[in-house]
Amino acid sequence: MNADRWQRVGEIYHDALALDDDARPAYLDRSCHGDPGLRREVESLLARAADASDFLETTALELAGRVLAAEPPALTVGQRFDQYEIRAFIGSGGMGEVYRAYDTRLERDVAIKCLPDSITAVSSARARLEREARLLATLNHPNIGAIHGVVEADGVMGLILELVEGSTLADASGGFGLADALSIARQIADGLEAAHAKGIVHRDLKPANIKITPGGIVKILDFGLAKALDESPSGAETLKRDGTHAGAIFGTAAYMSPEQARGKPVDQRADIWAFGCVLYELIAGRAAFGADTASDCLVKVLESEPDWTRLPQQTPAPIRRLLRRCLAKDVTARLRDIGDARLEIAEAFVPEGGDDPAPVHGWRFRWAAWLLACGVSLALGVTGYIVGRGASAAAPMVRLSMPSLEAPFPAPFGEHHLAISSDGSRVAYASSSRLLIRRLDQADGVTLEVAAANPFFSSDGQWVGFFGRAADLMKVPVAGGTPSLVAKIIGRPTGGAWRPDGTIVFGTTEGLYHVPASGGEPRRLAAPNPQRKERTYAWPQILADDRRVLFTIVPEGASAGARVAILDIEAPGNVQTVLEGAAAARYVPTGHLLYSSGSALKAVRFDATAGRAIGELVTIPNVTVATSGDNGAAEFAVSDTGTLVSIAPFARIRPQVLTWVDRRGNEEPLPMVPGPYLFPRVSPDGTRVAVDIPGANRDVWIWSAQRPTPVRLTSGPAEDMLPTWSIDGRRIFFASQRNGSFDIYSQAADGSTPERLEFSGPGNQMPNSFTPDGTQLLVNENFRDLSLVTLTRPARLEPLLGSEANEWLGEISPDGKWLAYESNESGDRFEIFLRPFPAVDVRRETISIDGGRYPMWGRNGNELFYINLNGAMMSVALILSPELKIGQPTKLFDWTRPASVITARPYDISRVDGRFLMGRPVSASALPPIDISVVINWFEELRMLLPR
Amino acid sequence: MTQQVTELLLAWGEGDQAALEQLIPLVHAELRRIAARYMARERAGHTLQPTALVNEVYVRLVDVDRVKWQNRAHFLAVSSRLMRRILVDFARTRSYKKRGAGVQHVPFDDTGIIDIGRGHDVLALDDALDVLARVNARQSQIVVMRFFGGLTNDEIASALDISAATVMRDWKLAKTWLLRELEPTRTESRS
Repeated sequence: MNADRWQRVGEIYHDALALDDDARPAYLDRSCHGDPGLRREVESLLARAADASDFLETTALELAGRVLAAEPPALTVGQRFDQYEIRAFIGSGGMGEVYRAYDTRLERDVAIKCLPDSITAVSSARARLEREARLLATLNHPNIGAIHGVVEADGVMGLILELVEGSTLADASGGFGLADALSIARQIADGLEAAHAKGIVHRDLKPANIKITPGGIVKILDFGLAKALDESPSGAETLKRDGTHAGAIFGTAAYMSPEQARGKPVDQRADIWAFGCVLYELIAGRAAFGADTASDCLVKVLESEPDWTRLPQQTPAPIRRLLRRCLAKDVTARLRDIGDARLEIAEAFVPEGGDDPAPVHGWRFRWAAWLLACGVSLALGVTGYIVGRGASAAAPMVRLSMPSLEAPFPAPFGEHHLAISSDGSRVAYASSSRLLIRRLDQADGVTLEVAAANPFFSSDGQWVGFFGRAADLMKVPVAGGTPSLVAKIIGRPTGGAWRPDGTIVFGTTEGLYHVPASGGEPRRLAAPNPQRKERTYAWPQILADDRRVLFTIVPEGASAGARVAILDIEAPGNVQTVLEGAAAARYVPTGHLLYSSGSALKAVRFDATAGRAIGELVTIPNVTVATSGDNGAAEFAVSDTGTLVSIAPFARIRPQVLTWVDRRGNEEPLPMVPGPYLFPRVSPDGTRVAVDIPGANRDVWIWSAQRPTPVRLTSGPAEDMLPTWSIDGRRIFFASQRNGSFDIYSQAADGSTPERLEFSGPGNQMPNSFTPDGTQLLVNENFRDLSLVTLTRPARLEPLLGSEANEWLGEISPDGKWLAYESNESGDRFEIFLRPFPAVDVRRETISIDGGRYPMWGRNGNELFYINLNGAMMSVALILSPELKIGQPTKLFDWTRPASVITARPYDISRVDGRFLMGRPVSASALPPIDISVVINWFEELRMLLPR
Repeated sequence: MTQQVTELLLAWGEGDQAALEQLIPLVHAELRRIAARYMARERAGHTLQPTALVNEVYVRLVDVDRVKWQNRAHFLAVSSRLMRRILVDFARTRSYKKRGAGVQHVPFDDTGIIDIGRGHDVLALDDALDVLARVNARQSQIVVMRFFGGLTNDEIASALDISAATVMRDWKLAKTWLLRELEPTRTESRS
């Protein structure tokens, strides 16, 4: 039936259905006239209409529920299985489900493969499995993924396997370089040789069973399991049996020896065949016997030669010979001993000329280097090169980079974005909108769509802690999942550290805190002492005794005077300074402290017991780190295994094109060069724009239509920021920390008079907006509360709103009677609120729905704008008098999501034509990508620089 | 978990076939887990809402809130396709296992094939839906979304950008046709 005819059937069917039974025949006569087939079709459907009424009305899931429930997963995450704690579900393979687990007795991670009923229910199969597993457990070789044993508990039978991290050769796309291929093949041959010596045959060697670990070690997996589980691939029979799983068979068929394909008995020479297939594929970049279907594969295995012309020209003759000998279809003509393959590969590595006095040593060294480079670079998709040639026994230092990552979030207040787990296997990176957690050996990883900062790993490497953008400390498993809240924090975050006992020490601008990672009320350990000119405690690290905290004390004023100190969690009152002129220090197991000083990474020997730095300070060559002047944040991290990751200084703020936007979303860029402009503010007459340009020396700049580039207005070494026009448009008020904390300053907008201190109070004050009469300035106090500064001489400050929550961005209505502001006082997210002014305690109305940031009044006071959490510019109509009436928020246009803790409005409104002034980020492709540089085995260099 | 599933679903919805390969085992295991809990509650004597299982699956597997408003409908459509795929795969392996293990060992009325009513199984429905899709893709899609995805007519209407009345018409016609198509005694030719 074609679609048109079916359409016709449907129309007649529905029409007929609407008629009474006795009217249908006449209708059908008419509508199906001359087409008995059509009529038959409609009638047969009509006949079943009643029967069909309850057909399919119960959903498939309900129907399947019982069936699904009959086969619950073998194990549940969190469950205890014998001596193992089930940590995560890894996947389900052909044999059964695989879980990651922790062996509580031997204190190591393992993988548990649950065995299917078909084995556990049959006693002979079970007995065979147990026997085989005992034999396999004796295989102990670095290139073989170990089988620890079989465990049965709670009716589940599980094989306990070595947990091998890394990706399999099957996951690696494309070919390897010859050197990489040979170094991998050599290790495979080593593993096979050890197993064959014990009479154990793999029987299912293929790329999917070969992994490369983060450390660059090749591991053969599932050794002998095919036999133990009696799932040995044996040709036609297997094909028939697994006919529904063409993919699984395909994966196997391409590596199956001709004798296996014929269903004949198998010995170690089947492994040698498979080894040849793998080696060919590594070098040629394609399968030796690839085909679209399993049966075509088998035909090729039995009848065709691999395409030898696919081997790269430079393939050495011994390797070509080796491949032909491994892939001899006649089993008696095939290479007999995998040890010979190892020798052939070694020969291929001998430098040309062959009479090098130390060829073996030479190739061994290069091989190890290749291996590392390949194990890591293959996964990162980058090029690595060897830089160190230290003592021959040491693993070579390798530098890599993880390029083209999305730039981190602009962080005017200082945060870092990089962490590495203590075992060096994983890196966490917080970009502007995502948290990436990736293994160093895998190109992909977990990506969480969450704005995060200051990530840190748990001591067991299973969690990443980080700070969300809404003043909260979060955690998430490294394998991904939904981040969960550890604690709400007070102040801006300054890093965290995870103790082995499951608690977290973290810093904020308010001090250092201690909280259980499982959640709870943070306990403050210590707070900066203003009497000693201390501003912030930051960047904690737990020392090896698990009770002392190494951290950074940032003084009032510039962070150049930062120092590193230690306190004891059990007796936090006693703060001991360790090193002056240092920030973001990290103790590493070589007995050194690493710390940042400007963009330099420096090191000093360190006596951890006494808490004392010893001897000279050296600068680490070839490494620079991005740092923040605000609190000493530094973009580097180092693992206990000697992997150093860092980000070189970069432009932290994405360039913006300042743009006029009308309420329909029509855009008109200003004739102004793009730049890292924050918080643009248009002058009351609409002719000039003040911008806050962050950087090493953050200042306020003024743009006017005469020229495309802005002109610097403020100067000096401190950070000057958050410009606000006076009502008459003649002065710019701004915040500056030139005396330590942020105070309010002003400067004539044409730069004609010196800068003037307007108000200096305890703590920090930053301008929000003026009252309509221009006599008072609403200010953000200590990044938390709203206060009002009356600009008399002397100026005085009175608190306006100061709950435990944040009240930010106060804006007074043009009639002077209402205060709009943003706050998280009603819950987790920010909403826009309205209160009478100045009697703010009388009443509170919520303006936004489902969250909002950055309120601003329309010109006439009959409209309030804000940006909702999806980044849309919203408008709320208001009638302020005689009685307050609040309209529904309506969307004007989409912009960018508010994703920051920044306590300033990122847009402004022209008093002249009511248009919005907003920054449109230049496209991501126009940004220089951020590279994370990775140095593996870096400790050797550190030891050479600063011997103990 | 929900994050991962949601992301994979979005990726699959955008045509990434590799995402499906990751989704299936992940969702399959979780479905079984949810179903086991659900049945345990049923055995414990709780009266369950007919749609409780479907709801639970969505709540546990998919972070619907995270999916953009306008994509929600499309997203639910993709989820429905996934459910079809998983349940059909599941039924297929089960029916294979029964044959493979030797029927004599498995009582015929035991769990195994997913019975969709009138003695038809889900595999036959799957095939019939493919046939239907060739003459009217939309009707086939509506059945997938309602029966496999557990979506309401309104949700389907919004996903396909048609009226709820049209969904209802198509749904009725499609299931009548499917019922007839599945009848083993049917001898009329598929003209």
